[in-house]
Amino acid sequence: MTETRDPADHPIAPLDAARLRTRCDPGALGFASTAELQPLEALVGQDRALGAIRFGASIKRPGFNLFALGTAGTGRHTAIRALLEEKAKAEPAPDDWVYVNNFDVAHKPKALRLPPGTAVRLRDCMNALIDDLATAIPALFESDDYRARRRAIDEQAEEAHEKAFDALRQKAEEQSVGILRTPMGFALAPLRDGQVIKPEVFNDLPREERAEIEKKIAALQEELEAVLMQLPMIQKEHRDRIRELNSEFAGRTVGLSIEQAAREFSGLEGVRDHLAAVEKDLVDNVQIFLEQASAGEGQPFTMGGTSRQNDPRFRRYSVNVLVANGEPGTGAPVVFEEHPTLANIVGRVEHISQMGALVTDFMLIKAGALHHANGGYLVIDARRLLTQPFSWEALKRNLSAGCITIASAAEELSLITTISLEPDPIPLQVKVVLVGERILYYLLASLDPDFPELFKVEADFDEEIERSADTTGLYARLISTIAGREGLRPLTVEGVARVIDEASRRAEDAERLSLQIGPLADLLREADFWAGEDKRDRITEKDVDHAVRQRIRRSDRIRERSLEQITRGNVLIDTDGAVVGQINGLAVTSLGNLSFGRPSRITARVRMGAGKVVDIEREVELGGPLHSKGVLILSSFLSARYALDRPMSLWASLVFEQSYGGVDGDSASSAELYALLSALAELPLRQDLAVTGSVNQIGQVQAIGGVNQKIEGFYDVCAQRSLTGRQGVLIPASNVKHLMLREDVVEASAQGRFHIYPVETIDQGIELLTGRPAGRRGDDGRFPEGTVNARVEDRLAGYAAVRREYVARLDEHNQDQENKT
Amino acid sequence: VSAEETRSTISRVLVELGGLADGDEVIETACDLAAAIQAELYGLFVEEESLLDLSGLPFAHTVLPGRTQAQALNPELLRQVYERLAASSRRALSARAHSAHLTWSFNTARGHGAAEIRAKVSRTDLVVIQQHRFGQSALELVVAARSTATVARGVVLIGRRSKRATGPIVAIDDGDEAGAETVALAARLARRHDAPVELFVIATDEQSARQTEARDLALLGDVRVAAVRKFVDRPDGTLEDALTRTAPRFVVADLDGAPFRDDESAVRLVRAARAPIVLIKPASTA
Repeated sequence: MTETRDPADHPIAPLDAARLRTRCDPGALGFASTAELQPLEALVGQDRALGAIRFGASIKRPGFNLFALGTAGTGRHTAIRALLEEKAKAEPAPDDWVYVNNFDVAHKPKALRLPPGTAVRLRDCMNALIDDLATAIPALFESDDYRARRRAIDEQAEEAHEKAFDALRQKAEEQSVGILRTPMGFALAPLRDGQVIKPEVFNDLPREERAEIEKKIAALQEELEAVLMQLPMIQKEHRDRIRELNSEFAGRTVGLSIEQAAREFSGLEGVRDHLAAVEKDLVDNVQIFLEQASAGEGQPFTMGGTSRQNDPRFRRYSVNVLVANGEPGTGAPVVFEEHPTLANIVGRVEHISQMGALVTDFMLIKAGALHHANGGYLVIDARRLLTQPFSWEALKRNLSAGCITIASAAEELSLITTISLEPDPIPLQVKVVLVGERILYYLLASLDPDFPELFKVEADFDEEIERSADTTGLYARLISTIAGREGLRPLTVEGVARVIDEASRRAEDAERLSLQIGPLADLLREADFWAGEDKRDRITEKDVDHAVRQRIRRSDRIRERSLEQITRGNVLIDTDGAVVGQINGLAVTSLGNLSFGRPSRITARVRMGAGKVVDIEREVELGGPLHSKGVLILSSFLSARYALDRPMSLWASLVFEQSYGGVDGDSASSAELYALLSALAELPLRQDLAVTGSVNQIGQVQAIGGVNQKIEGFYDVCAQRSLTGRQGVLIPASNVKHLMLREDVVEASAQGRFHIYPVETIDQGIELLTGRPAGRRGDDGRFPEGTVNARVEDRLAGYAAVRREYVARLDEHNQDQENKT
Repeated sequence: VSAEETRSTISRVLVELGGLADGDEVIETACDLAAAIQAELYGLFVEEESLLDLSGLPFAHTVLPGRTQAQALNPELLRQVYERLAASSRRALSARAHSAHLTWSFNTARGHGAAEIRAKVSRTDLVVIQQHRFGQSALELVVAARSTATVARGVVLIGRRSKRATGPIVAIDDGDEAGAETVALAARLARRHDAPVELFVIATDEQSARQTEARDLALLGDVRVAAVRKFVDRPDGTLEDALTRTAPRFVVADLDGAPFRDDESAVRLVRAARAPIVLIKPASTA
């Protein structure tokens, strides 16, 4: 018996147009314009994430840093900023940090912790101290007291020098020997009548006299050597005495100035120790003030305060303010590091070129984000951080160590050979908040063993929120808040409803709303622009709609070309008639901001074989793993449902026709199964229908993504060729709740010109596509005759019989061959 | 006394280059002076005959300051040293003179240093003398200056602690005729170096001091005057202290003036100045 059924009588009814798009009812919103709405103070639908941030920000334990994960545009940055800034405001400002010179080991600058607001005062105090001393010390050394003592020392040295020489000269003269200056030094010469004895005269002298002269000269030469050896010692002694005198005088003034400074910073042990070191160094090096004073003389401009701090001789007394807090009302710092390079994270030691060499000192230490955020919060974009060389490792290292150590990339790579510094590490107490996509979080969690130890709190931002009366109201306030914050025109209630519908569309779910604030704000900005163009003072539904269409229009070129390829017959897609083993599948293409659906012809061919379904896409490596999985599932479905008592003796091939790119996902697996069943049953499939949905091993059709785009993709092709009233799309029944179709599709459906069929099983689908009942296996274990399933099973049984026969013949043939052998 | 007159009475700056002095500094100072008064520059390198005689003696040695071993001296070694020093002195002098656009000459003589200078010097010469680094006291320098000045227009003393400073030109005027010439020469040097003049007026009473100051200011004309210090009945050391504080570029004074009248005062000033001291005689006595 052959059972046929008219398609109009099919048991699956098309969806009512009302179910194709869930519209927000403006009347239910209860306002006329967003100007009436109170702005929101917190994000909508992110309670879990906000709770996590509050917890993470409050818990003061090592490792409880935060990772805010979620899709870009979900308001993570805004929420984190708002929460952290509010919290930080109530917290005390952290301590200031300065670097000062280490007078014992210059390349290891000392870090001083100071109460908030003290660093700048200390710097100014030290600058003023040096300025004062630069005036006071030269004046002190101009005093009569100093001059007199200095003159006495000079004269004593000179006298000592001359006295020693005069005594020797006198002694020499008494012995008729003169001391002569030579270009190299001094020489002793025998004199006669005040003149040096000429060599010929000397040679004529009696031998004894010559010997006597030589003896005198030799003795005096020894004394001369001794006198000349004394000279450097006299000079050294002179220098020492001058230094002592200078120290004595400088000590009085320096001590007084340091004491005043110390009083201002009493109770700060670090400052006290530093001032003591400064005092000692100033006294030891007081001559720099005298050099500076004399260098300034005769100059048209005397050295001002600023340039003195830049004078290398005085830099070592300066204070490098690394972090200065304590501005009234600022609280703890919240730092957003937008460019997290290694140097921007941990700070850097800069160098300056001096006589062709790179040199540095403690004043060239620059703070990084960790320094600025110390005692507060540091927010970094995870992707940016991870793409900067050494930044991630440096951040982890500093967090683990609990202190900030400055290291440059060159040092990390051991590339640097110039002089650098080893500044004191600064104790670190900071809450780091990384903001990143989920994939980064999960990759870090699985691949970086340090990550779970250092980022124990995850703040997971939802991309969607359930669409209900309550949340719709909140969403309206969110729209109002964004419009207010962005300085946009208020929206009419219809405009708000249209935006809410668009939020559902973005969420690809009629029962949910997208929480991606970024795209939402963009839509509002664009709608505001169009409202402005039309000289409206409110953003209306029309403006929102226009903004949506314009956005699609701007990025729609590829979709149009794709559609054109079909309508011009370059890509073969039938939209009427029926064909065996051929079906319209649906795929989604995502390009930039646009995703669109398009039909794709899938064909199946069968013959007797060894039970293999060949996925041609996979064979040529154009199919992804999910697609292959789908094909294997449908193979399994065939094996499990048909010809249960026989070996599967099928060879089948499946292909996406005219597909030259990759194919992935399992959303076409039901379509592939229909094509295969059609080929086996030799029943034609309707070409005015397109199919989407994945299938499981027991023949249930399962939900897929992009259902709206897929339906619209086929609708567009049909509409281009004019709608026949029989065309439509089979979708998984579980996708009905995701429908947020374009208005034109909904309208066509309402007019009965296009249909959406919700399908739960393969049997329902095949009935729709073939117009024949699928058939249920009866008590006799057989499908009713003439049904699709019966035809499939018969075909497979036929293949199995032929195969058995073939194998028997082959065995027989082999046996004959063996016997002959 | 105009600057022109001062220039006309000093026609040449003679610098003694015997290898005993710090050649660079003495040449630079001589050059500055010659350029300031537009005089000719004359370098005289003297090969000391006493040393040449000594080098022929079998036991001749030279002892170097700070060294423990004396170095044997012989005529050949000394000749080589003199040749080398004379050549380098000539080069230094010519380079400086060229850059200052000065007329210059250079001679080598053999004899006794002071005698050779006296033999070559003229009444219109300014002779630059440097105190030797070792073995010559400030007193010896002053004595040598006085001796040379008997046959020259003036002398320039470069003390052992003299150094290149950028301070003012100090003019010391005790109110006589030579004092006026001193101020005129200081004005020339100030213009040359674009430096101010600091006037040290020495007088026995306030009135004389004021008169001298007025005369000097008139002489200085448009030259910037950094300060005028008056020393009336000055106690010992006050002038020296003032000089030390000023850190001058040049000190210009009258050789027969009050501060240099006795050796003791002159020695103190040489020690205190730490700058070349230009000592000139009144044109009438030159």
